[in-house]
Order: sequence, then structure tokens, then C-alpha cells
Amino acid sequence: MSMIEIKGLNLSFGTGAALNAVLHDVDLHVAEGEAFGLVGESGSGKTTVLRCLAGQYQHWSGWLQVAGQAVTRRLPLSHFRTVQMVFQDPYASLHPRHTIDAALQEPLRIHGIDGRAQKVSEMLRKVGLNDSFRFRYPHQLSGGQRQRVAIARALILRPRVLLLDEPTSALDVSVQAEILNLLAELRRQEGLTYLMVTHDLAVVAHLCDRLAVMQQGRVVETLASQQLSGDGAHHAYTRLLVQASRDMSEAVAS
Amino acid sequence: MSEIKLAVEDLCVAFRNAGKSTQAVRNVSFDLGREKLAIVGESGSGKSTVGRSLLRLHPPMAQVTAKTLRFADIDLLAASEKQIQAIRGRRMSMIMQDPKYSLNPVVKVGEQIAEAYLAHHKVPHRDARERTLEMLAKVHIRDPQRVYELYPHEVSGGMGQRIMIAMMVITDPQVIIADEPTSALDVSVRRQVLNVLEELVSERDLGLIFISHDLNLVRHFCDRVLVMYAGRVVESIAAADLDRATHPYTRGLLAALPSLEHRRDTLPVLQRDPQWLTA
Repeated sequence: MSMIEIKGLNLSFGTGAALNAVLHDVDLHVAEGEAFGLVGESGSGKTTVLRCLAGQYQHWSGWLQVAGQAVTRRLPLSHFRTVQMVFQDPYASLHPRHTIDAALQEPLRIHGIDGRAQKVSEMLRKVGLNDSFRFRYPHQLSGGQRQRVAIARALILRPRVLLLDEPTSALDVSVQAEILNLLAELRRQEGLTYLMVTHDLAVVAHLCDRLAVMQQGRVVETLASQQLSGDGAHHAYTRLLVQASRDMSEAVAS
Repeated sequence: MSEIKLAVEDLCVAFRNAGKSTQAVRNVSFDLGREKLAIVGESGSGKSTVGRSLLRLHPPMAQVTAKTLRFADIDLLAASEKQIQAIRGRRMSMIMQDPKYSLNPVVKVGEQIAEAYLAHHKVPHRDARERTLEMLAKVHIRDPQRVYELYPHEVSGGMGQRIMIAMMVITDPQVIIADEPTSALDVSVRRQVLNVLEELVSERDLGLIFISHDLNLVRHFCDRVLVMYAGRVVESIAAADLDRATHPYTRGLLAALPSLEHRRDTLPVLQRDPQWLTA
């Protein structure tokens, strides 16, 4: 069954002469439990696709479906118990004057869920933190710890789909490894479906089963991650990306 | 190695705040010749702090000490503010990470480059403009006349970074410090910017200090690598030999990188050894 289905998604901003079409007939299918990567350069529309699914844009046209439910313009509260998002910059995505506890309780309060204190402390443990973090403020945490909090906040409503927008690009390689391991581990435990945006092909190859390459608002190629390592990429732009990321790592290997 | 452009011995930087002193850089030593020297490490390891001490860009609460801190024949520690001003931006300049934040948003990019030239050369504005247009062409900007008139929000990230490079190189410096010059750029554009830097370095006999957290990029681009951890240089190694790095920290960083070719279920996570802080 597909968990996420996107058919003929179009989106543009502005009108008349200033009309700027950012997505052109995007089609994507992500199976349940799959990790799917969206790759492309900045401005190619990959984050925009996530934002449409998360309900941050309403004026798109086309067909979106998540977990068998059509995504409507006005989203019911239940949508956000299925789909949650993790943002790129953990320094910007947590409220600086809210404690970690407040940040994690807020979604529970919005959805009228009880037993909040216990759920918060369970969730913190699940992402590799503990109760001592509950009453700290974001500035008292490192970048990696903040990203763990952001992941905890997304998972606290027990969603089935996680939208990941460059979740590790603001982190050091050593911390990136920790967060990638955590994401892989959580997916195994909870049977989550991931849709991840990134510009780092190596990260996609590590975490995802399949990926789509986007360029100027279009999906130009969809392929399995294994095909990246061999000679599996067909589209010229994909090959360019593979070559660029290989150049960076191969100089040593050779 | 040819002549030594920059000599650093036992550089220490401490920041004093509310009666507490934080040691950010401890006993860093290196010489820079006509080469591309990389400084890598995680955030907070002190790599940018080293770069900034060379140009005296620290706030007064920073205490910079060293046995030697010499640029050509000038002692940077003893130099007066006036002497430093004659060096900073003229003979030694710095490229910052993100052009979005380092360009003035309300001044045309061409004017900003010309301003850098005029700050150090007493020439008519028209000459500075000529130089700027030449420089823009040098960094492979196709239509210098048009780009000169643009504002920073009208140029892309890659073009913005090439404009920054043009601004830093127009005074013909001997040393360039590049602080994460490509981290804010896409993979495809990164290549282009690195090529421009590479060209300028070899053409003008520059010494380049390349500050980065990206080991893969550095071993491809630089000649020599200093690996920093908690304010110390833990390893200094030729970029080509990085695979044979001996320090566990360097090896840990390399192992933590996900790879296109070899998929692993879990990435090895860096185990930090308290001994690295003293060894």
C-alpha cells in the first residue's frame, strides 16, 4: 500500500507577469515503511513538496493522499497525528524561551492527550536524552541534542509519516552520524515512513531505499538507492550529482 | 615549501566573560607557505578563532597570546592598529561563509567590490570600477557590466560567493583565509567556486587557509590538513595521506561519513577520549 501518494502536483506563486511556477506535475509514491529521499539543488522545489504535505501551502492543485486519506485544503487536526515534520535548523525550530518540556507538551495539549508528563519523559528516552533535559532551554543544548528534541517533538503524537527537511545538514559529521543512526533505529522500531529532503547523496544512500531527483520543479528521475553506487543513474542531471559527490570522496580512495 | 608567509607558534586564545576565562585555542603552531592549508574540526573546535586571530578580528575580551605570530616580516602581536589596518583586507583577507550575511544588502555588489579597492588605493572611482569589472570577469562572471549594477538579493548563492572572492582578491593579497566558503552552497555550485579559488591561488602564488568541517572536500582540494579538537591541533598531515591518519579523532571523523559506495546499517559514532584534551 502506498503511504504517500502525490499525483500531478502543481504549485505557483504570484500572478500575471510575475507568475512563478515552482512545481510541475510532480508524481511520487512512497510505500508504507519506506524511506524515500528527495534530492536536488536549492530552488528545485523539494522542500515545497514537503510543505504541501504538511499543510503549509493551500493553493496547490493535483492529488495528495497520506495513509489513505486525501489531503484537503483545510486540514483536519487528525492529519497532524499522521504526518509530522522535522526542520533543517535546530537552532531556529525550537522556541528559545520555551523549555524542552513545554515544547514537547504543546502538541499533546493541542490534541487533548492526557498523561503528558509521562509521555514527554518516555519520548526523551527514546531519542537518547533523559529527564534531566526536560526543564532546560534550547540554548543550553548542543546542536545534536536540539535536533533530538525536534525529532522527539515530531514523534510525540505517534505519527506514521515523518517529513524530514535536511535534518542533518546543520550538524557536524560526527553528530550527523548519531542522528542518522537514531532515525534508522526509530524507523525500525516504530515502522515509520520517511520522506526526506537533502542535497547530500551519501546521506540518501545511507538512509533511504529509493529516491527522486528534482530539477526546476520537476521529478526527472526516480531510482533505488543501490543504483547510485553502480552505474544505475540515467538522467544527465542525476549523473552530474553522483559525479559531484563522488569527486569529493574518491580523491582519497584512488 | 617556498618562502614562509605566515608563522604561528604556540597561539593561544582565551575569552574572558563575567570573570570566567574560556580557553578556545591552545598552543596551535603552523607555518604557511605557497600552499592550500586546511583547518578542519567540529563546531567549537577553535578553527575559526585561529583564522580571526590572524587578522585581529576578536572583541576586546579575547586574549591572544603566542610565541610567534608573524606575517611576512611583521609581528602581528606587536603591530599597531594602523599597521594591522594596512594588512587587513589588503595583504591578508578573509572570505566568510555566507554571502547572504556578509554583503551589504542596500549597496550594489559592484560598488562594494570597488569600495574594497578604494579603501587601500588612492585612485579615481572610475579606475576602481575598471578594476572591479576585470575582477568580476576573473571569477568567471559572464556579464560583469550587468552584475556590477545588481543588489545582493538579485544574485544566487554561488555568484554571491564569487563576488565575495572578487572583493577579497582585488587588493592582491598574499594570504587568504577562507572560513567555510562553500558550506552554504549546493554541491553543483560548490565545484565552480572551488575552481575559481584554485585558479586564483595558483595564478597569484597565494597562501590559502581553508577552514572547513568537510573532510572529503578538504582532502580533494587542499595540500595539507590540520585537524583541530577542543582548541588543539591533534594531527597535521598531507591531504593525500588522510587515509593513513593515525589520530583516533581523525579516523573517527572519516569513519562517520556516510558513503555512496559502501552502505552500512549503522554509522560508527565518534567515541571521545578525555585524553585528547591533554595529549
